[in-house]
Amino acid sequence: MTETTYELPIGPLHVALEEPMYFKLEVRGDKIADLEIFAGHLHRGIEQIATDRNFLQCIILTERLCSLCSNSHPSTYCMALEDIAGIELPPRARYIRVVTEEIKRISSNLINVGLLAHLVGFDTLFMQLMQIREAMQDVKEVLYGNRMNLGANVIGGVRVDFDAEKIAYLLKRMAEIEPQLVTMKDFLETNASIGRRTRGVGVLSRDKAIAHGVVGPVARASGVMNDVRVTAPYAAFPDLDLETHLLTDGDVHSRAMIRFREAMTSIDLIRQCVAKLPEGPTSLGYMPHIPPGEAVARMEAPRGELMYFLRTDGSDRPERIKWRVPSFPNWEALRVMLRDADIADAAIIIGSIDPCIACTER
Amino acid sequence: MTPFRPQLESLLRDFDPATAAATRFRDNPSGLTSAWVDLDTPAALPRLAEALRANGARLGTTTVYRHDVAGAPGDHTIAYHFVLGGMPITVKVRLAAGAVLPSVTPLFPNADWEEREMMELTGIAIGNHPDPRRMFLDESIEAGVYDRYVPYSDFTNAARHEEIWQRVRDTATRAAGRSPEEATP
Repeated sequence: MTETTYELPIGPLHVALEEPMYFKLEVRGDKIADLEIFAGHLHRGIEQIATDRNFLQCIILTERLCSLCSNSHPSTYCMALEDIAGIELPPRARYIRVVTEEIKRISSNLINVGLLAHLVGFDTLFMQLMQIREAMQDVKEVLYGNRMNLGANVIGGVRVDFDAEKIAYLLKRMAEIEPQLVTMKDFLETNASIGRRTRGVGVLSRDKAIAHGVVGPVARASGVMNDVRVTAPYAAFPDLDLETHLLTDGDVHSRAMIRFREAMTSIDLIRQCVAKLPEGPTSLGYMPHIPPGEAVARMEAPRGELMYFLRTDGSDRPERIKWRVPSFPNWEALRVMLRDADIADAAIIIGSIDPCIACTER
Repeated sequence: MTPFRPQLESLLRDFDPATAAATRFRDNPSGLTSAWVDLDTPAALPRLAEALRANGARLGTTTVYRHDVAGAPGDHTIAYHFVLGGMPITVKVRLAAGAVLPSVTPLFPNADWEEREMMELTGIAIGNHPDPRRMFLDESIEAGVYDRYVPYSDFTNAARHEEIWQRVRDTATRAAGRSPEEATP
């Protein structure tokens, strides 16, 4: 605090974030001059816990790091194990992993865009988006038996399989939500009220995005294409046509539109996977031995690149496991987005990086 | 073969031919390549990090682990996970107990939180960090305290708090040169 500025706390509990993070804003007039971000409210020591669990238990543990990207964690963890053990996934499992992740991406992205609508005072839109998302929750429940933690992954494959009835249900629900999403997309792109609150707000330039190493929709809204599905295609992605989305304004609106468009692309990816779904086993059918080794595995979670580093020593548990969630590098870039912004926009700018604090603090 | 492999090989030859020769490349079952680089000394890290940045690499994350828990518990390996295009590059540096690790935050702003976390949770000293404040722990708590007494995960996983405090007391007693059995409860 100086003679011309004062401090304004946001959090650790705030309506824009359902998880705790504390922001100390230094405010001059109505503008944010600078800020500090304080973490630590949700640090649970899960990396250490993981070294006390066997490889199978760690699938369950990593799935519970966070709810919205709960499938991304065990999926990437299994990729690291499969790399170390030299396990090639059965073709059917490669496709089911993509379907699972894209279903989660639609749900996750719709929550964030819905939250933005809520924060700009457009609660009708928020409720409509949540209603569309509810269809995805039904899909998860029918296909996996759960609405959030899907338990879809095993080492060397997937735990679930899709029969004709499940596939028909999946395609029916996709056909239902697609026209609704098209309508919503046009509305989001053209509505003046939403545009006034989100365009030109919380700007992250391309140079700053590169310097801060941001990932996911935050990067792609600033003109940086680092989608892991494109740069290092894994699972079934080498066989799929992926429409990419890139915007250059780097503002809150661009980040929301990237998420929305990517949710729609996920529908296309799900349809491609279902159409090409190979016959055959979905897993190895046994628990493989994991030799000593180390691997880096990456996948494109809803919020961006999720990175796992795993070391094994020949025992049945990780010697060291480290994960870097997409929110982690994006937090630092938030300082750039918030500087010189109006205080009133702080909540929507913070929400626009789609932060996951449970993931960040581990 | 990924086009980024020749780019990295060329970069490493310019950096240090011996490091280039020792670098390993590995393809995973999906055919994706990863690179593994070992550095002889922490002092070489900023120069390599600068070369990687100049070639368009970004820092993904960092990992700290003990490479010899029984023989040298005070020594650490720090793995820097860079990404060049679609290829992860893991650069490993060994750090002896008490040695100082140069910061790469001036080169990669997203290393800020990574290095601060390293300092407070493992007790590693990082030189030249632009903002070496605590992230998770209060300033009054000794750095690396979880590492020395009891991992934080044990706290969060504990069924009985008395077991945790007994372990802290035993560790402190041993550190004072006495056996836990001699200590008065």
